[in-house]
Amino acid sequence: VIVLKNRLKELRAAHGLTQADLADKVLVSRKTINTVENGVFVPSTTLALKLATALGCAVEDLFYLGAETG
Amino acid sequence: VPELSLNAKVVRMERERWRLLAAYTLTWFAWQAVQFEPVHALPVLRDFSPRTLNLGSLAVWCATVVWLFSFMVRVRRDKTLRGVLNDELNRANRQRAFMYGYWAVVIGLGVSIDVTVLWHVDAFALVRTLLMIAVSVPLATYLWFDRSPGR
Repeated sequence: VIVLKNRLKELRAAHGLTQADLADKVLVSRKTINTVENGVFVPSTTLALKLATALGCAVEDLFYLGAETG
Repeated sequence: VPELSLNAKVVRMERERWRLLAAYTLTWFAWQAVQFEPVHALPVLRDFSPRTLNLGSLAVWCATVVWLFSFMVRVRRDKTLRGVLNDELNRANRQRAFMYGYWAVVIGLGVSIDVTVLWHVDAFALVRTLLMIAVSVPLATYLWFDRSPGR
């Protein structure tokens, strides 16, 4: 099964941001960032674009399709 | 008093919203439950008259409604805070909770039809039960989703 995966955690850490910092930048709750990072919640295109802009990368660098594991 | 960061404000308001909705759900459920005669026979409620139970539970529920309005007014004052509190995860949780409520009512209706075929049931009690399900299930599931982001 192909699922949406992301590199949010590593890119966020590379920018020295906490989940709360990133949440404040894109105006969502910390819980939302946490659930996106863990792959529990699939963000809308709008939020994906906002996250990519906040981390200075392209959406494709942040989100990619991969096989489900576990 | 130091100004709280947006995240700290959001966390505080999220906690308050959870407590508020939990209180609202419980008090509303209790108010409806005391309308049923068998509930009056419970040992803790036996000493109170049905009228006292009804008015008492209604008063407690009204207090949570006042709390709800005060919370809404405070949230409305800050547009950014309102946006973060109602972000897309929250909206998705709300939508899913409504779906759970919808199916709970559909199942409740199905069961009611079978029950009324087999036994004589007071129509008013049946409608009240369905109303209890319709209000409590979405609220309770929303509270559950809100507390378990890693579900």
